[in-house]
Amino acid sequence: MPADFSLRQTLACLNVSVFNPAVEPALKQACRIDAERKTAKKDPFHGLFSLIVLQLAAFACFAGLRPYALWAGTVLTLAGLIAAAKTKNTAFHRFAEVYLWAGLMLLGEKLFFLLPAAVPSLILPALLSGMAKQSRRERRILGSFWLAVTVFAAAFRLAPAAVFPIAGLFSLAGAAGLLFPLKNVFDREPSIVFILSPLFLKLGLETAALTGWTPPVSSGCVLAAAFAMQGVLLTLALRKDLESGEKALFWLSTAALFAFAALVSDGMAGAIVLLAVAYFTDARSLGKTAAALLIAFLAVFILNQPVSLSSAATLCAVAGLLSALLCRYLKHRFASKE
Amino acid sequence: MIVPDRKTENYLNEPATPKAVARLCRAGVVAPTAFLQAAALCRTDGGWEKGASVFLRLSTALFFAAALFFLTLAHWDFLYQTGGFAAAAVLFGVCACLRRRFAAADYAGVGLIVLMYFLPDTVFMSVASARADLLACAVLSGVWAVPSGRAGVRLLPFVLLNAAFCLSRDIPLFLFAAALNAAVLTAREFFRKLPALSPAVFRLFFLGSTLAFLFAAAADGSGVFPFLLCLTASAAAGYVYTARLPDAGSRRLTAVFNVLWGVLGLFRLLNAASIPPETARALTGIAASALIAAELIADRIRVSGMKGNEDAR
Repeated sequence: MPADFSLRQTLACLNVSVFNPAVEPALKQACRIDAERKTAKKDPFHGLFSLIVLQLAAFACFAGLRPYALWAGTVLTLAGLIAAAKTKNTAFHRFAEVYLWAGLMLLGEKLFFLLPAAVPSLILPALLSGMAKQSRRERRILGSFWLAVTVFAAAFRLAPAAVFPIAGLFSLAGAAGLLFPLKNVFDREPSIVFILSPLFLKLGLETAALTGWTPPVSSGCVLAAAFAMQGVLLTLALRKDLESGEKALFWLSTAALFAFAALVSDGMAGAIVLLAVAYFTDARSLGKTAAALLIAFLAVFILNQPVSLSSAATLCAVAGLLSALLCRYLKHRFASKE
Repeated sequence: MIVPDRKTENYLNEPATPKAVARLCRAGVVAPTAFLQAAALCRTDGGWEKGASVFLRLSTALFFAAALFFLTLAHWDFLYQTGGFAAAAVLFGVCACLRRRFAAADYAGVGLIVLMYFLPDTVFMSVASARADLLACAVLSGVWAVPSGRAGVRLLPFVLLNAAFCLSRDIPLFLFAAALNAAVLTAREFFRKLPALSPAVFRLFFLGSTLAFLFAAAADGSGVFPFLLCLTASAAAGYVYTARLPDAGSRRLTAVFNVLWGVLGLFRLLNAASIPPETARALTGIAASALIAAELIADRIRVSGMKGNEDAR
């Protein structure tokens, strides 16, 4: 593919005419979205690193003020809201936001212990409003992250058996959002959070199980089915570009993935599907995360096996050998393509 | 529209990427079901091929290292015997022959030096000072590192030396270690006396070690003097690396220690003032959050200012 393939050429390949009057408003809207994105990138606090550090700052304040959660949370939330709304200075606005988030965390924790389901119910409208406009990126990231955390926490508290079905739904929602971007729905960040959260939950539980702790609930075939459904979604999204033989291969792969997930490790299967989704949507960071998760699940799987150290060494050596052979095969394939 | 306006024209001439295509879907130009088809048209496979190659090489190295680790643990008692020593010595010889070609052999050489030095103490249960052993390992690995062209291998003797200092909980020794690291750093930065330490990782390592030992001395020591001394030294180091040498990595490292210093200082003050623990915890939390936020905001504004100056030029 030429490196300077333009949007115009891409649209031409998809039989979308830029001169069609019906397309004009949508093109102008796309132009506006792009301009908003470029303006937002000029904000010095645009990056994910800044968001994470400011959230850590808020968490430090939350951790210190937990004994005074109710009144400190109320004061911080009100003061933070007023300061953030009134100030025009970017630096002071960010500073005020830290204490606003700390206040919300304090009140949220208090509410969670009274009524666990109320907290995600309050976060959801904020997240949905963030998905209505391109510029509300931070609201989407924080809203989706805290929604996932509070939903899982509430599920563990109220109905542990529902944790993995909910995780499966999150996973499917995330995959659908990435594979089928809908009109006027800015859901890239929430989709990434939703597709990752079940895998991190599963990894956390499996890692904790290494210490001898027994999780309150097992995933059974629920996550396996969810990851297989992701494979189905991917096949449906690619159906126009696949020939019959390739379609059959994809359906067989999905069935094999389900069997692998149900019998061996659903975490590894989920990471493999995530890698496939990341490849087809060209989401490189997501691909790197999927690769790291795959290694992590494989490591936890090996450590969980009731085998001797020598057998574990053999398993690792076999995995290393397979990896080396695959690397060699891909190197030959890429060299022959050139 | 007969033809797109200038703004839309410029937008359409931009290079296509899958993210840009996703934005077209969100605007309603392209149907959601056609997204993957469009992404396939503009996906650059070169990046994925390179990424897959790096990932597979890394995972191969990790799995073989894990296999070696488990194998060593499984047959640990073999190392206690003469055969074990001989095997380690032979392996060391092999690493010495292959070190130029293979980085793994170069790094493994340092690991084998530490192993062979510590084994006799473990086997014969001798009462040797671990600090003295680590110092000796640092010297021996320094000899190994001299002909090496790899910055990581040249860094390892300094890591072992600092690990030896870490083992003591002696404040004068912490201050000595900080001074030593600071002296090496100064020679590297200001006098260009040590070209072998020119890679940027050495700057970060020596700066981090200096600040860490100063912090450890302040955290361990009682009384006002060690704390004030270390605070002054840390502030001086922070000034040098923010004002004299605007290196982003060093600046951020100094920012981390500034936060730690601030929290430690407040913690000491609150303890001295006999404030209830919950109140002390609350004040510490608020101070920590203020420091973290302030450091980040200052860093971001500085970076944004530098970018603005570059764009203006």
